[in-house]
Amino acid sequence: MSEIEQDKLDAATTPRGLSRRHFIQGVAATGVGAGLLGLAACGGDDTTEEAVTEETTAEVAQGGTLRVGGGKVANAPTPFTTNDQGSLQVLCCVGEYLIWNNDKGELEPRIAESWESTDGGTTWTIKIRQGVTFHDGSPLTADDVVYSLTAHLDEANASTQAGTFAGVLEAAGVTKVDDSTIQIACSAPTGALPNLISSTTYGLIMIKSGEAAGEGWQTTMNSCGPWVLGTYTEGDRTTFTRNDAYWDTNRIPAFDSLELIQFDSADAAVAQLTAGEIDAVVAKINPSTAAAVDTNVVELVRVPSASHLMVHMRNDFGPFQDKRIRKAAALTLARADYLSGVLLGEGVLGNDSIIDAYPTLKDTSVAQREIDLEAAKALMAEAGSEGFDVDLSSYSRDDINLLAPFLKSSLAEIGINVTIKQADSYYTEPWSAQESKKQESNYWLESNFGITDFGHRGSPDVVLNRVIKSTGDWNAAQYKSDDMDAAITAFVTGATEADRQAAAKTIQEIALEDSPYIFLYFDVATGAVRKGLTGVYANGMAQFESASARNV
Amino acid sequence: MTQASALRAAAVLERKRIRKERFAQLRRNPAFILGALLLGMWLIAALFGNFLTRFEPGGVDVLNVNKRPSDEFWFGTDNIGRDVYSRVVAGTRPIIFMAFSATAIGTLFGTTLGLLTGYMKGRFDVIVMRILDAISALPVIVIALLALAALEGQSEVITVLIIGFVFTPIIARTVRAAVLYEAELDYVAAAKLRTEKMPHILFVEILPNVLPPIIVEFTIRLGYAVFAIATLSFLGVGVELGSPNWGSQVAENYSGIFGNLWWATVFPAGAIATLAIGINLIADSIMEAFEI
Repeated sequence: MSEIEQDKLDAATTPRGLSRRHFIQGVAATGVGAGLLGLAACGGDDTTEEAVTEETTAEVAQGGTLRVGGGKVANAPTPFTTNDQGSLQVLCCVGEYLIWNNDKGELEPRIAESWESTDGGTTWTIKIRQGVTFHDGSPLTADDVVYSLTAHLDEANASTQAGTFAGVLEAAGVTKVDDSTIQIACSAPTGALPNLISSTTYGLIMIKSGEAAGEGWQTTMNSCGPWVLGTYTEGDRTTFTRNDAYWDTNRIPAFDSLELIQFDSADAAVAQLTAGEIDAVVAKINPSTAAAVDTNVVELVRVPSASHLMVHMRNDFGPFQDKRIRKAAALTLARADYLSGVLLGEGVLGNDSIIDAYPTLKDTSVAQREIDLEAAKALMAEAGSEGFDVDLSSYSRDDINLLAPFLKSSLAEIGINVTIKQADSYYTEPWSAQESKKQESNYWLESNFGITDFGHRGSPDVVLNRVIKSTGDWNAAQYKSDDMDAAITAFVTGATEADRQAAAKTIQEIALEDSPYIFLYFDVATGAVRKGLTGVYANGMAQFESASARNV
Repeated sequence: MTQASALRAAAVLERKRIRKERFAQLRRNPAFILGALLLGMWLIAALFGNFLTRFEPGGVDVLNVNKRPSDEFWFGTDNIGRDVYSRVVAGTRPIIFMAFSATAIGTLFGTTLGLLTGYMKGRFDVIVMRILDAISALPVIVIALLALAALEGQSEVITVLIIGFVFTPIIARTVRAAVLYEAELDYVAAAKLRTEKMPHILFVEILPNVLPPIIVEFTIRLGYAVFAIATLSFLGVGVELGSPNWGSQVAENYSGIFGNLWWATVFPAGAIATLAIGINLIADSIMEAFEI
């Protein structure tokens, strides 16, 4: 990269009011920044850089309505109930986060001007930006910020975000120091805390102290983001108007209004984009569709990420209880061929562990699992199984619609007859694995076998704690292992990068041995904008930047 | 031989002659021949599909994704490497079986109700026809979507029953109109004088004389059933993801058209079109031949 290009990149990504050096130190303190930068380097694209580059816009007409195609809203778009791509995309328009996770996986200060820990990650001091107002005109205070965090930890609010902080943070640990400072005292050293309180914990937007932010909040959506709610039409679209009082004067929207339109399929949204009906697509576009777009009218925005489709196999009942059968299922998958053939190489190969998404953590000496039908059949025979019928539960989404038939076709090789069951209600209930009943239904946390989409996180801590750990509230496989729990604890509380890497290797090895989940690949999330539009991109969580949108 | 039986024998002969003439007229009609060829082609595919496919229709070949039509893949491959030709052939059986079943159910119940209401008339006729009017006011797709959503079904059986249910009033009305005319004719009066029971009068005396409109109605509804099933599978209800249903194939691949990946959409869409056109050509020819 040339010096000029490096300067451009620095200008675009270095947070205001914070030196680049300080910024990198902050990210490095979480133990993941370098890994994500590595991901960006291996899969990055010039278009992403262009999308965030400030351009001279003086001669080009601005204003009007920015029309964006996003995902379907499954759950009410409120801080406590959001649990899907469509609802978190609504929140990222009206809401403001403490820290923004950008398209390179880096952390950008928003309400948190800075963050630091002086005791190895147990206690964190967060400086709060002053002069920020809610959409109703009231000022954002340190008390509001404390509430915006602790409200999710209050069991009464049944927040979908609570699990992210289980075992990490309790409400009493978040305190106001003064009008511009709060302190977060974790239960144990938590190097990844800045990531945990960043935008990838997607419900964590600023809410007014004492305000109920569950079902019903979507009628007002009072927060501090660059867009103010106009109308929210369930199942169709959300309209917003520009927040002229937005705190970041460089990012006050140039468009007068924003229309976020829900699409069942990103591929269908691309057709609308090509036809000039919308300006951008911020849902994930299948690589084969992306490869075929008319680049005279559409510009692709590629974002390397740790987002993925996770396949769970229920450990406590049903046909996958025996780990030999789970391993056999995993061995039927020609994952490298899938990545190169179906995804055109856009992504990172998975080895059935979340660690695989983070190059600086992944131990490459752990053997990559590859297709081996003979070994799979031998494992089935050893387990005394001649095959069985099973439902594969999920919902309809472009990438899931490719993966599900692939799984069905692959597992048929060892006599597992898969019936694909898709329903919009896949994520509807129960809310946590602990509440799931020991029954076979097609809900995410009650199903025998299912595909779940996970957005990008700056570190693997969330997936490890919420999905892999025995007590995880998203542990759809109901996987329980003392050894894995110990390795996760060692990873999360690891004092040094070497400690975390050592624990990460153990996690990789146990994950391969027990195979509760299949991680086939990690995405390059591809969105698209019309030619002549800059400043719009979706990060790996599918949250999108639109305040900086400009016609050029 | 009595005079009555002589008259009846003459009537039977006359009916045979007319039928023969009509079939001869059909055989000379190019539209009918084309329709029969198209329908025949798809019937062969439905019956012998297992021998005609070249690859496993659900088989995924991730190293041959989005291949253009070629010697190896006659209709190309889709976005996950499935052979489009094999899937089109495999998709024939479900759509034909479902369309015929749904239409047969609608025809069976519609004919029975039409015979009863047209013959019995009176309050029974009024009540039944008003109920049927109410049912036929609802569009088939809307009813099917509601029912399938309520039953959370990916069930082909439910789809067939719903389409049959919605067709029933339409066929009943056609049959009733024909029966109202036939019931006033002498042969029905003669049957009554012979103290024949109502089922005999309805199904042995009247039914053969109202068969032409029933056949035409069956054929027309068959065409509608093909479209209804294709539409429902396009919308993703009633079928499993990845099934070779033609409508599902169009739904799964149509976005590729914008990227010039036309084959995975055009071939199943063409299959739907040719089957529906074939059936409609036959229906038009029969209408013409039977002067309905």
